[in-house]
This record gives sequence, C-alpha cells and structure tokens, in this order.
Amino acid sequence: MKRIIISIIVLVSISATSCKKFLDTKPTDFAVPEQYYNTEQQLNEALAGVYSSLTNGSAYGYNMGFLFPIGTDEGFYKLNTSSPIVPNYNIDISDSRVNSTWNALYNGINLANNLLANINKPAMDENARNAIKGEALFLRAYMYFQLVSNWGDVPMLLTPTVDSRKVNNPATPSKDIYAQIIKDMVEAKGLVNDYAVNGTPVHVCKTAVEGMLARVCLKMAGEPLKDVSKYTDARAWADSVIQSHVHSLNPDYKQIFINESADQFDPYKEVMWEIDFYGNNMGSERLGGNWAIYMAVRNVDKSVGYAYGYLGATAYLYNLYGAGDLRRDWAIAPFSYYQNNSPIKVFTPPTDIYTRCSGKWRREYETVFPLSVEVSPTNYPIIRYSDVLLMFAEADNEINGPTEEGYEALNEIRRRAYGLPLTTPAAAVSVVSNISLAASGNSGYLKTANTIPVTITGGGGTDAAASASVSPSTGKVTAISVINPGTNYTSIPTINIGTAWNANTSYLTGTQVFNGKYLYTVTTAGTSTGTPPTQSTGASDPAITGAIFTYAGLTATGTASIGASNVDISGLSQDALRDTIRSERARELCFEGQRKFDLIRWGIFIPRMKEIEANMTATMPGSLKYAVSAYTNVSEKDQLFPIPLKELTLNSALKQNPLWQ
Amino acid sequence: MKSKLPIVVCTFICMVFMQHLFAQKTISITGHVISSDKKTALSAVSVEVKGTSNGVTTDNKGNYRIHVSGTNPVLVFSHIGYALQEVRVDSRSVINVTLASNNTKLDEVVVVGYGQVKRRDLTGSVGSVNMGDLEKAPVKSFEDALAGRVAGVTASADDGQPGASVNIVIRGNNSLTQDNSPLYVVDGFPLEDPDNNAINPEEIESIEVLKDASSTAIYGARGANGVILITTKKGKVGKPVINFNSYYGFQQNNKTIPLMSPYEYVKYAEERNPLYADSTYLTDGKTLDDFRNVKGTNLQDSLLGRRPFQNYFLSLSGGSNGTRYTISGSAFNQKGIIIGSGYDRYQGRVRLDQKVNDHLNVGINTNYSNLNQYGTSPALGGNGFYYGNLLYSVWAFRPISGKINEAQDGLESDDADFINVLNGFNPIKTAKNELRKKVSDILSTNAYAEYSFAKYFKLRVTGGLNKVKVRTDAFDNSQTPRGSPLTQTGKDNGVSGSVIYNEATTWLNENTLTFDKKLNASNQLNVLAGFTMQGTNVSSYGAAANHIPNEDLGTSGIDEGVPISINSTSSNYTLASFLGRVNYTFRSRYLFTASFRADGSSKFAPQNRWSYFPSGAIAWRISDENFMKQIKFISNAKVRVSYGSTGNNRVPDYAYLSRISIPASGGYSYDNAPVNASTITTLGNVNLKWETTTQSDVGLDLGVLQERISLVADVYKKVTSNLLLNASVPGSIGFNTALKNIGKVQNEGLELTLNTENVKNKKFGWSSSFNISFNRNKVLALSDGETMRLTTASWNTLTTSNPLYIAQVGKPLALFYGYIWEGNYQYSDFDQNTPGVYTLKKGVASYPVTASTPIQPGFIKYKDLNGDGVINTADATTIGNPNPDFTGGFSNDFRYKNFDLNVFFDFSVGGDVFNANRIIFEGGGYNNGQNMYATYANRWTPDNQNNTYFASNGGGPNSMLYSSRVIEDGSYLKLKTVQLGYNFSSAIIKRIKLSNLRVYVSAQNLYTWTKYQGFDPEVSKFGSSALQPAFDYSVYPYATTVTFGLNVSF
Repeated sequence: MKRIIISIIVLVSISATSCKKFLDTKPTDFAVPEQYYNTEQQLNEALAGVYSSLTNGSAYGYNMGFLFPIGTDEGFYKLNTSSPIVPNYNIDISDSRVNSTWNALYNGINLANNLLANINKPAMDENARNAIKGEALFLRAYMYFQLVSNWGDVPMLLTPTVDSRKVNNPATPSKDIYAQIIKDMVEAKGLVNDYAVNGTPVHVCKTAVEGMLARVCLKMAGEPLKDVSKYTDARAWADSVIQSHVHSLNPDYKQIFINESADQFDPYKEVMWEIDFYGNNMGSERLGGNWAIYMAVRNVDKSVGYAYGYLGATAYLYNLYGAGDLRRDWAIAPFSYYQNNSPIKVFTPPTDIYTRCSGKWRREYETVFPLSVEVSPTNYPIIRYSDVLLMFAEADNEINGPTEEGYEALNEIRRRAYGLPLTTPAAAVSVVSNISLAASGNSGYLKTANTIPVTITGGGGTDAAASASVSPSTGKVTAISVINPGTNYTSIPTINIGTAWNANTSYLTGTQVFNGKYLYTVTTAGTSTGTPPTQSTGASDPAITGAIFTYAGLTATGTASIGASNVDISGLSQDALRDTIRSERARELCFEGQRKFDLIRWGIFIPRMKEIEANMTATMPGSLKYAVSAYTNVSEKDQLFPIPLKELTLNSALKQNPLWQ
Repeated sequence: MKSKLPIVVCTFICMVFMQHLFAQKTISITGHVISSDKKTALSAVSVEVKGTSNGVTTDNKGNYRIHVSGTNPVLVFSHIGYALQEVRVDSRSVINVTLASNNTKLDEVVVVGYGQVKRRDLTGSVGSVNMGDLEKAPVKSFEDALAGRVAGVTASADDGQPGASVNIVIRGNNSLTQDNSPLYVVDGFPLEDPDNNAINPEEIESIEVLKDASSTAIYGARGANGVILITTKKGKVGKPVINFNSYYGFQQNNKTIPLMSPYEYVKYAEERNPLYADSTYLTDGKTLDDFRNVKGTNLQDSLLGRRPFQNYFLSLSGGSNGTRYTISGSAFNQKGIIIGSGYDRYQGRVRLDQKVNDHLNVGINTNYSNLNQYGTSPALGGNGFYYGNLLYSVWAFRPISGKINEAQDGLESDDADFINVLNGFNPIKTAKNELRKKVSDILSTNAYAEYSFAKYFKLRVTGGLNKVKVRTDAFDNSQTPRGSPLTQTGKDNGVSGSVIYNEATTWLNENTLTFDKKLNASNQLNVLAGFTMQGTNVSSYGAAANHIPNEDLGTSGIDEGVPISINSTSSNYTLASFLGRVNYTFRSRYLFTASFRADGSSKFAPQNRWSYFPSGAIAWRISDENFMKQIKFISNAKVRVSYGSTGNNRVPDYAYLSRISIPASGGYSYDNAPVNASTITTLGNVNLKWETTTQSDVGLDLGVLQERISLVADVYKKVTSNLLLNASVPGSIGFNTALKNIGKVQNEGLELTLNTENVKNKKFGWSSSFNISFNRNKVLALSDGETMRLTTASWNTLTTSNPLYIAQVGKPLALFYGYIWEGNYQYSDFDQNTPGVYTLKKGVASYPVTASTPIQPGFIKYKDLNGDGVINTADATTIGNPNPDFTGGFSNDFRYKNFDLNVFFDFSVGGDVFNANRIIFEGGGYNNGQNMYATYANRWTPDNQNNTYFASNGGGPNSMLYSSRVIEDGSYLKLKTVQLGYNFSSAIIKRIKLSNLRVYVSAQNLYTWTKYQGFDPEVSKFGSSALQPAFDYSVYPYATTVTFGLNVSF
C-alpha cells in the first residue's frame, strides 16, 4: 500500500513538472507582436499595413472616397432610395457605414501605434528608419485629422492597444487633437523623404506633409475652432510647397485624372499624395477600390467598364464654370452611355444639366484587363498641387487681403482651366460655348453612325470643335457637344452637322453627306462630279453625280452661341476674392472629397445646402426630384457625424455629439 | 421458457437433495454457471462466499472451483447484466447455477466517466439511449435518430441534406458565441468535434448522456455542454457468430411547396409589370384566359425524386480462452433526394480483448471509416443575393413560357430564362454539374492495459489516436452558375475549382487507478485517481484556381488554371489533467459521490492555464429504508441531489495572443507593385480563461410494480459565467471584437422520463417510453454596458444591415427581431381627393418608400409601436421566440407472437421558425418573371381586399422585410420511426442452419403533424449558432425513408 502511494506521488510530481513544458506550445501559423518588428523588412510590412488600412471599403475604397463627401452644392447622391445613407442626411446614430469608417480609422491608428512603439527595434539604416517613422507619424496624424474634422472630440490613443478591458477612453478636446496632429506632422515633415527620393506620390513626401499641414491649419482657422492665427501657418506651409518647386500643374487638366485611371503617375507631380489602388481583384490579390465604380458614368457594359454613376452633378456646379472652362466637361460628363448598356456615348443636350454625373474618372482609360465589375485600380488623389495654390491664395487673402502673390496662385489655375500657358497673364477668352440643335429637319441618319462630325466655320475664332450624337434607335441627331470651345470667337460661327458634299471626292458605300437641307447616303461607291445631288427622293443619276447618292432625309441644323470669360482675376475686394476662391475650389477640386469639408470650415454649409434645395426644387426635372430630400433633411447636426452607437454603448467614457443627442 | 424448465427443476432438486448429505467442514465445491436466456456458459462470474473476502471467478467454460468452510456457507454469484443469486451450500460439492439475466433495469450497468456503475447506485443524472429502439431507425448515424430519445437532449438537423450536421444540445445552450455541442467520449476517448458518421450505429453497445455536473465534472473543462459516452460492442465468449444485417429501400421527399399555376402566374405578372408581361406572355393576341387549364412546369418534380438507400453489415464475433474478438465492416450508400447528392460510408472495425493472466487484461479497438459526402448544397449561407440559392431557381421559374404550346420541360433550352429573367441558374444543371465533395478518412484506435493488484487496485493505462483527413473538392464547370460563360461570375472567373485538405490528429494517454473495496457490510468505497494527457495537431492546405482551360479534368486540372489562392494553416494544442472521484456507499442506501478535475490547457496564457472543477452528489435510496418496504408497490425510489462546476474551453488555439498576419489578398501597392502588408488581425487577451458552468440538479427515480412503471424526474439550474464571448469592443481601441470572459447565461428546466410495461404476456407485449423536457434559457449579462446584442442573418445582400435576432438581458439567448405585421393598408386608411390618387389619412402611420412610390391601398402595414406616425427602426421589436416550450419523444414496442413493432414519435412544441422563403415567394423578390407560392394568389386586389397578402409591388422597403408576417409556429409531432419485424421460429431457422433470422420493413420520417408551411419546421440554416436558430431559406428538404431489411446470424 505504501509503495503504491509513494509511487503515485512520484508519478504525479514528475508529471506536474513536465506538464508545464507540455502545455507551453507555440503558435505555428502566425506571428505575435512581441516577436515581430525585428527587421527593416517587417517595419516596411507594418507600414504597408498602415497604408492599406486607408484602402478598404470603409476608408477610401468606398465610404471616404465616394459616399461620405457627396451631398453638397457640387454633387448629389443619384440613387432613388429611402434607406438611411450619409449623403441623404437621414442616418441615425446606428448608421453602419459611419461606424465602419470610425472603426477603420482607429484600426489604422492602432497599426501605426504598434509600428511607432517598435520603430527602434531592428538595427537598420537610420534614414530608412526615419522615413518609416515619419510616414507612420503622418498617417496617424492624418487619420486623427479625419476623425476630428468629421466627429469632433474623439478619444486619442497614441500607444498600442494591448488590453481588451481598457475600453472606456474619454474624448480628447478637438483643440488638443489638432495640436497633436500639428506636432506629429511637423515631426513627420523632418523625417520623410523628398518626392524625388520616393519618385511617386504613393509614399508620403515632405512637400505632401507641408501641403497637408496647410489644410489642417486652414481647418483650424475656420469652423469650429476659428483659430484665425492659423492662417499665417497655412500660408507659410503652402508657400513652402510652392517655393520648393517640386510640384507643378499639369497643363492639361484632364490628364491628371486619366493618369489616375491608367495607374500612371503624373509627370508634373501635380498629385502630391494619393491612395494607390491596384489590379482587378481577379487573382489572389484584392487591392482594387470600389469608389470609381460608383462614381463613373453609369454603364453596365463590361468592355467600357461597369459603373453605377451614383454621383450626380448639381446645376449650381455646372453653372459655376465660365464659358470655355475646359474643366466643366471633364469633371461633369457631357454624355451618358446608350441605354446605359453599350460602349456608345450619347451626348447630353446643353439644356439638360441635371442628368449629368461626375466624369472626372472614366473607366475607359483603365489599363487593367479584364475590367472588373466590382473594383477599379483608379488611384484616389488626396492632395494636389492646385489645391496648395488655392490654399495659399485663400490664406493669403485672409491675412493680407488681395495681393499679387495671391492672385498669381489663383490665376495659374485659371489659365490652365482655359487651356492657356500657365505663367502668361491672360485677360479673357471668347469661345463657342454651346451649340443647340434645331427642332426642324433632322432625319435619316445612319443608326450605326453614333457620332458624326460637326464643323464650325467663321466667327472669327479658331480651333473650336464639336461632335454630334445620332440615336441608334431613331436615326436622328440628339445632341451636339462642344469638344473644344476654341479661341477668339467674336461672332456666331456657322455650324454644319455631318459631312458636306464635296466635288471630285471618292466616296465609299455607306457614307453620308449632306447638300443643303438634304441628307444622302452613298449607295454605290464612286467619285463625285462637280454636280451635287439635289433630289428629295430616290437615287441620283451616276452619270451626273458620279457616285450614287440616295436620298436619306433632312439635314440636322444647329446654332452656336458664343461666350466670354475673364481668365485672370484682379482688382477684387477681400470679400469678393474670398468668394471667387471658394468657387474656384469647387471648379477645380469638385468630387475630390473636399467640398463638404470646405463648406463646413467656412461656416456656410447649411445656408448653401438650403440654397441648393431651393434651386433644385425650382429647376430639377420630376424624375430626379427625389434628390431634393437630402437638402431638405440636412441640418446643423450634419456638420459632424454622430459618434457611432456601438462605440457609445461600449465606451462609457464617451458622450454623443451634442446635436446628435 | 419450456426448455429452461427442466434445468431449473433439476437444480432445485439437487439443492434440496444435497442439503441433507453433507456436514459442515472445509470442502471444495465445483460447478458450472450458465445464463438463463441463451443457455451458454458464463465466464467471469464472480463467486464469493457470503460475508468473507473469499472469492473466485468462473473460467471461460463457466466452471469454477472454490473452497468453503464455516457454518451454513452461502455462495453469492454475480455478474454484470444478471441478477445476483445466493445459494446455500448445504454440504453439496457440485453446485451448478443458472443466472437469470436482469429483468430489473436497476441492475443494468451504466457507463459513466472513467468507470461504470449500476443504475441503482447512480448519483448523477445520466440518460441512457435505448439502443434496441434506436437500432430500429434506418439511419447512417446515431445522431440522426437521437432526437426525442433522451430527456434533456435535443438533436436537430440543419436540414435534410445527407450528411447534414445534427446539432445536439444537452439542457440548453450555455454559450452565446462558442460551440454548444457536447463532448463525445467514444470507448473512453474524449473528442470535441468528432464526425459521428464515422461510427456505424450497429456497432454501438450503449450510449449514455451525462447531464448534471456530478457526472460531467470528471471531464472538467470540456464537460459543461454535457457528455455523450459511446461504447462499442465487445465480442462475447462462445462460438463464433456471424451476423449479416442489410437493408435496402428508398427515400423520397415528403413535401413540395404548391406554386402558382400558369394562369395565376400570368395574372400576377400582369399586375406586377404589365409592360413586361404583355410583351412576354400576351403576345400574338393571346389573352390571360388562354392560360387557364394549361398544365405548368414545376421544377420541384424534376429536381426532387425517389432515390435508393442501402446498407450492408457483416460481423464476426466470439471469444474463448481469454480472447474476445469482433470484426465487422459495413457499406452504406444513400442517394439524396436532390439530384447528384448523397452520402457513402465504408467502414470497418476490429476489437480484440485479451486476458493475459489473472491480473492483466489488454485490448485494442480500431475503427476506420471512409466517408463521402457529395452534392450541391441548396442553402448557401453567406451574404450572397437571395437568388443565388438553388431552390430559388426551382420555385421562381416560370410555370409557362410565352408560347403556350411549347414543350414545357424547362430544362436545356431555357438557360437564358433563368439567367436573364431570374438572375438565377438552371437548378437541374446546377445540381448535376456543381461538384461539391467531401471525402473523410477517419482512423481511430484505442488500446488499453488493465492491471489488477493488491486485491482492490486496478491500474488502467490507455492510449489512443484519432486521425482525420478530409479532402474537400469544389469544381464549377461551364454548366454551373459560377462557371457558366452566361453568368457574371462565370464571365469574370471562367471555370474554377479548389481542393483543400484538412488534417487533424488527436492523441491521448490516460492513466487511472481505481480502488474498490467493500469495507464492511455497510460501507463501500470506490476511489478513482487519474492523470491524462491529450494533444491535437491540425493543419490544412489547398489551392484554388479559376480560368481552368480543360474542364473535363475536374479538380485535377486546376494546375492549368490561374491560381487565386493557396491555403496553408496549422495549429496545435495540448491538455493535461488530473482527475479523481470518490464513491462512498453507506448501507447501500446513502450514496455519496465527489469528483474533481484539474485541467491545464495550452489554449490559455500561462497564468490562466489551470482550472479546477469540483462536484458532489448525494443520493438516498428511500425504497431501501424499512419504512418504505411496507409500501409494496413501490419497487424503487431514489432522490438525487448534485452540484458542481464544469467548463467550456471551445476557444481557438492561442486566442490569448494577438495575431499579426500578412494576407496574400492584402498588401499595398506602391508604384503599381504590390508589397506585403502586415496587420494585427486579432487582439489577444492574456486574461482569457475557461467558461464556467455551475449546475445544480435534483432528481427522483421512482419504480412501481416491480419496475413495470418507472419514472425519472430531474430539475436543474445551470448558470454559465465568464462566457467566452467574442465580445464587441469599442472601435476606438482599434478592433471590433475581442474574446473576453464576459456575460452570463442561465438555463433551467425539468425533465421527465416514464417507462412502462403496459402489457406483458406470452403472446403479446407492449412497452412504452415517454420523455419530455422543458428548458428555459435567459441571458443574465452581456458585455459591459451592453443590454442587447443584435445579430443579422446572412442570406441576402439586401438585408445585411437589418438584424433578425436579439439577445437581451433577462430574455432567451435568441429571439426574432423585426416589425409587427398588421396586414395591409386598406382604402379606409386613405383620403382620395382626386380620382385614383390615394394619400394616407392624417394619423395613419407610414414608412418611407421611394419618392416615386407612395404607399397605396393594399401595401403591407406594420405597427407603429411608438406612435410617432413614422415606421422606422425605432418600431422594431421582438417578434417571435424560436425556443420551444417543450420537446420530447414517445416510443412504443409491441410484440405479438413472432412479430414485433416499434413506433416512435418525436415532438417539439412552441418554438417559432422564421420562414424567409415567404419573403421572396409571397410577393417579394424584384425580378419580373419570378413565380410565387400558390398562396400568393390570394393577394390584396381591389376585388379581394384582405389582410393576408399584400398587393403586387406592395411589399414595402427592404429594410422592413423582417416582420412577424413570416414567423410561423414551428411546433411539430413527427412519426419518426416505424419498424415491423418478423422473427422466424427456431424450428425453421434450425432447418436452414441459422441461429437467427428476422425480416422487417422500416420507415423513417413517415409523417409530420405541423402547421409550418415550409418543408419542415426542423430547420436551421445557420447550423448550431446559438444566436441564429430556426431560419429557413432554400434548405434541403427532408426525405421519408422506407427500407426492407434482413438480420441473419449463423
């Protein structure tokens, strides 16, 4: 008996000691933070992790890149729905998208906090370390900037989360959050690389940080902090970017966005920092973004690029553009796709403003094939050089009133908008602004023609060009679009729609020509004689006309109107210049996620929205009137998002934003 | 009976005769022991001289020799399964004994954790499955027949798919987010998530369900959800016996849903979208009336059918000279009622028990199973669109095309109608072509050595290994919705496929020491101490590709496609435990049990690794008290009380650690060159520990009239605290959820089991067994400050953000959540200022519809709970309770001459089911050409102003689809199993040299009495999720099985 007991005791004690070892298993399939951040490679992976937190659907992939910033004086949410959704200003505090963006930003912040806490762990080149540290600091500050400007006072955590029980984190006053943002960004500026070292606008560079500092300072100078001393800082940061001469404007406005769609980097470095989306999610990597699919012109045809076209442009924005401003017909697509279901572009008549949607990023320029119906590789620009110029002009005007420097920054942008040399002063342009289609005539066009040329002659100007759409179902010209407004038009030019008959010209079967008010289709190829067809029925005699011209219908006719715009701005009062800059920001930066932020910081968000409401109610066609509700719904509380209900429930130290209570 | 009589008489005469022959002195007695029923020798019968420790056991031939002395010695013969018999020696030297097999259930041996006891001596709450009854059901696994068999155990299948998992829950769900399934112990091997299809039910000797803390605490950290002990059959001493059992039959769906006829369909299409309907159906001058009396297509008839079902089982067993063996094998084939689906099992078992010498016994038991589950699953799950599910295309398909006289087979030529009109896919093609196959190889082996020493000690060492390899194949060729060039995904991805291997290896070593001694006449002590170690390694690897060029190669051709993912994971965990139990019996009336287990698990951080689970129980056999002996008709009465704590360790391995992952799909692209990105995907919690359930149980066992009527009643209360909750955390800490020990759940209930022998005579016998259980569960606490937890049901992208379930403090774990349905808006709700233009009266609540469609008469109406005139999320409330009031079963065994009949019912009353099919097929969906259930013909129209079904296009916004309209009473009574058998008489059998021959016809799922409108109220699309029960959308229908069988023994 004793022996047995002793042997049991021995057995138990042996097993107890070996137990500890036995139970000490190690994970085989993942790393833990304590054993990570040991090499430069791992720091880089962690930094990519912080960047990638800005790409998912809750961040720039969809919410921040598309949904949240719309619903302003420049664009409306073009989906007829009663469901609560941010741009319709009918959400409640439990809105899942507001919640998911809140979570995504804090998730990125925690990743940055982990990286920063471990930044000194590996032995590595100090410059490389500094660049990583600076980018992480900047990204964290940028994410806090998004939080504080969208939600107001929020918790500010600057160290890694390690204990899931520490959930009750009170809000930090906005002022302190801004102070931290400035501090981190200033530190980051000293650490990150120059654009030249990075070579692309994907990694944050020194000048991008400065540009962002200018934006932060302008926000601080405006609502709700109203720390007007920050105008000086904003001007200084913007000036620092300008003086660095690293960045310049791309002389061709539309090319900036074509490059974004085509996954190319702007050679003029106008884009200073962008969120990089990649691929079509058809392999193992899923790095495409949704935002461009929702924004681009509606089309379910996959060859041109599937898109929803959920961002409608307002008439207010459309009308902000002066005659000849090339930005208008790029930013606001002057076309739709035939029946939303083909590669055929159909021009929108000049009278129809409201059906137009955002055209800044067009899927036809994408280069990753096959085009996905869900994601796009289009990159999202966060800050462009033109924005810096406008911020400089704005801050400068607030401090000094109108100055030469301020005007020059603004005018550089305006000259580009009219297709003029950037640094040469330009007073005004006079252009072909519109071509309207006559109600009479207009029949018999080939339904397969889709687009036919329009010739503009006379009027004293040059270079104007236009194109007309032919309806594939009716064979009528439906609209004429001015492709190039030209220059120096002093009188109304003559418009010819289609190709005029010419003598001694070789015609192929199936071409259409007009002579006077009649339209003919070449039914037998040949070379025309000196005699044009004139019959109003049947085929012409080849002995007389060379080729056989068969009567097709009546020629469509159009009338041009010309318009003039001032290019360079000068001689304005401080208030007038302020207004001009504000409008210029809409013209230049529309749909780039800035407008709501701008209107709020200027303190004009609600009055402007109500102005748009009245405008839409008066002029919007019935089929789109549903969009008015957003402008009716919007109220003071919408200058901030509600603190998400889930956060409030679980974080008892936090209070709801007052207007959302 | 006749043949037994001479022996009994002889024995009696011998006894009387010998009494007079011998005087008292030390004598040697020999004898032979046989069993009363089979007349075979009984080995290992304990033969003791009463009142002494002098004892021997019989040898393999049933012979014994014992030396006795003293005055009037009495020999006590005992053997498990037989009534104890005492025989006065009375000077005889040869005493042959016939032991009667137990006719009282009290002496039945019940397997408990790490041991066995007689039912008489049980202190805990242990339910035994009547294997005789269960075997009557033609099923592939005991799980399929477990429902209603044991009080307190619910076993409901997800749906009717062959191989669908059965969710077995003992005494209610303890855990909100973690697994609630019990621990399975197969021949002593504890397994957390075994594939129970690996075990052939014909090889099971017994199934015991441990329910209360006293019986489960010995399994410590894994015992909280209850324990199911499965013991396989052991060879019996005797000549080799060959058994051949087989059955063959068929399965057929027992319900189809009536759909609209061609006439009703066209009529509805006209109302829904005249433009579409006119151009599709009323072409060439046809009118609606032309569609009357046209027979329509119903794809349910094409997809569902009668399919074969068969099983063959062969075994050889026997034993001699200390060796007992059984070798068996089986082949099982089940074709599902949906084309192309089914389940096969090929299985074999070898069990060998060897007595090495008087002290040492060894044995090994090995089972190998090959399981093959195949066929598409109609219930997809996940957040696809509702039209991605298989049965959508079946029900939604137009009963008639625009051309009335065209052949209406609805098959090959109609692909475009499925895709363009319905967004679906030809379901017959899907079922035939979509490859979904899961092949499992499961090997489990168990070996033991049992060494008895120093009279009262027994050391048992066991080792076991369980190895599971599962290969999962998926292949979508060009005739499937994912691979067809006609569909969007098919265009994007082309033909695609994947193969994934999963491997899990669990090993076990257990060492127990038992001390069992009758200290004196009134004290008996049984002590168990043990140390066990267990470890599990899991891994998976696989690959997926799309744009596979040669689809004829199937999954073998994925190497030629474009790789999209490579899967490779591994993990492991270890468990070490100390366990102990003391059973103490005082005067065989007062029974005490105390048990204890210390579990150490690698799943937790070092400081929380160990946890301790004590329990205790007392039982009082009142019927053995003298004052009760007067009450003759009470044959047994016992009161049991137990209390203890158990745990649940179902957390992922290493949940205490934060995880950094570098997903292949993630990364960030600098300069259009993606680089790896690491993110912290999980927030570890070093404080994580076990979920603990404390349970108290009071039970009463009552037997009347020599156990002809017996009743077992238990009341219990379980409180589970430190719930391992995947708790929500505020997003501001950088995560959405974190595993925490937070929250509390309570289950309380009453269980009753009544067994009766109603009629018992030579020709006719009738016995029945009835059980019923009432369980009430309730959330006592959630995360800090959380008073309710809303859960969505993922079945349809349109409703992803609308919660369907609510868990609220003070209420059951899951209740349905949504809007209260109030019928339809009627004309009386409207003002009509201009003809045909209806505007809601002031004060009539409305919901937001799109600006272009204001609420019209006939639109669905919901209750404005807060009376603010607007129906919005503030008006959502609890709309149903999926938890049944009570569940149970009722089994009857009849015997008449050579016939036997078993009839088994199973029932569940009071639980609601959410029938999401009705959302889509009673006026829902948004595809113009979609057919509806026949019930929707009775929708609101100006001529039929009812409150039952809303008017065409009047279904309200998608955000309000969850309403009480589609919540149905899921109560049911199922005639689950019926078996009628005929035993050939021994005369015939002997002539054809058999020892047993029986033929039978057997049926399963024969009839269900229910008001539920879907296929079957026993449905759970979201499986075992405690937060998302009783959801029905496009699930696999149940089948009625009818088989003809044969049992033969040689």
